[in-house]
Amino acid sequence: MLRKKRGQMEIQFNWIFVLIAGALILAFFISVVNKQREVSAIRTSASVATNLESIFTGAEISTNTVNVFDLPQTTVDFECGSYAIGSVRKQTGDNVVFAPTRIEGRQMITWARDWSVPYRVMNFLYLTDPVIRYIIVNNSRNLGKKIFDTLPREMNKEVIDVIDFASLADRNDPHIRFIFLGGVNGDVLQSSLLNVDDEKISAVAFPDLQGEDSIPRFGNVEFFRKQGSNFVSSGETFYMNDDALFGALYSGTAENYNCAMRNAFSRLALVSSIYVNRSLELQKFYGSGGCFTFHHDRFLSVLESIASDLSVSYPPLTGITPLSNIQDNMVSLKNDQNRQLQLLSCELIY
Amino acid sequence: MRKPAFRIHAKRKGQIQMGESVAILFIFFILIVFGFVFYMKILGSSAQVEFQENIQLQAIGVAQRVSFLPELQCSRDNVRKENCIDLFKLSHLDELVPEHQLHYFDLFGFSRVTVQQLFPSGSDLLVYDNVPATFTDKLSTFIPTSLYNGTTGNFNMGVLVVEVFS
Repeated sequence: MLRKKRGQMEIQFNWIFVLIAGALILAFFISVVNKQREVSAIRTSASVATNLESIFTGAEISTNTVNVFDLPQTTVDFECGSYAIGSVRKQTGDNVVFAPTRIEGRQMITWARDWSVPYRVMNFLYLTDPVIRYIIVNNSRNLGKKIFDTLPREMNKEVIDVIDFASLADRNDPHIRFIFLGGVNGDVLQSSLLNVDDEKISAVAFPDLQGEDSIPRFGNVEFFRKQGSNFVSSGETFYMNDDALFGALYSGTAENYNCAMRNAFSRLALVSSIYVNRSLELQKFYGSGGCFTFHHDRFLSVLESIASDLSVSYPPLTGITPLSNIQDNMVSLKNDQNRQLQLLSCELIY
Repeated sequence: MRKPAFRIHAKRKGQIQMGESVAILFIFFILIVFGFVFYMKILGSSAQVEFQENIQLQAIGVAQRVSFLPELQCSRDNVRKENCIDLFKLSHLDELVPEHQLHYFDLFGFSRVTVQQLFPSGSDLLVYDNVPATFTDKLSTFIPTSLYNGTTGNFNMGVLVVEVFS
């Protein structure tokens, strides 16, 4: 009887021992796996961040290039001057990056374009996700087709005419971006897209492009978000030349677009100050004559001053006037100075 | 009073069984610890390799940025000349950099950028200098470059030295 009881106790004790030891081993492995998962997520994010940095560096030196990069299954969130991959946040630094607020596909399209005003200042970098559907709503002329042809062919894009709204089908796209070459038209939402989640549809409108055959030197931009069956304005700003127009087209929000433009003008002010000094040094060197006459800082100083103001406040408080002034000075610098210096075989300004 | 022999035998058998279990567990944990230490060592060395790769990438990035900097690069009618530094631009950039230290720190980080004129021999020109108080590694990149003099229209020969500290 006593022996039987003792045997039972031994068996029970063995089971308790196995249970505790098993639990400890299990807890150990669970904690290792969890830790490893966290480390792996951080390593993936850090590796994507490093790759993005290399992309940014590459984009700074090569112009008019389109690349498609594979991404691990991760989301890249873009904000003013920074981007976040999981828990890893990085600064875009000096780069001017136009991107949607979130890229979550397995690929990313990068497009680098040279920004010259009229001398080279920097490259603009446009990023997007191949799964974002861009719908260009054409105006009365055929500008929509021209913009369609300029955009990278790797993008998920289409052009529709104002009368074709009814044919728009919901393809279950993660995001749809409408580009209105003219005023915004809420009729697009009366189609099968009406029931698509509000955050999955956004729009950007260029009211000045109505009836235009080419992109004007500057104009207005308005950003919209979907609210039920309507588009609601989320910010108004301006574009200057097609580089900035494409920037607005790619940017997720007006804030991100304005932030990128402030960075661009900050860089323009710096580069302009270099050219101001260079031209004045050359003027001093020539002393007199034609080369002396055409080397001055009249247009360059205005460019530097306006760019400096715009680097602090963009969109400009005084409306579109500063952008128009920049354009006028650009043309004068090109035709009245640089071309004249070229004709006289003098050292050029830029 | 003496205990019956079978009870002593059973007790010993139980103790031996218990000892076996503890010994197995002990060896098991030792193996796990060995495995874990080995894994951590491999992880550490691969992290070290990645760290070195990142530093090299950073150094290449800085060298590329300097080479293509519009504030330095030669151009004619907005057509850029590769591997060419405009001496007029360079002479003003060394004044501009201290005024906009934060801006250029975003571009070049902890590094030193100098332009050495080799032929005709001339002095070294410092473009950017931000050396950390303490650093463990320094990677130098030498880029042969031509130095353009706008007044004479001549090209001198030089080398762009980019030193990145980490």
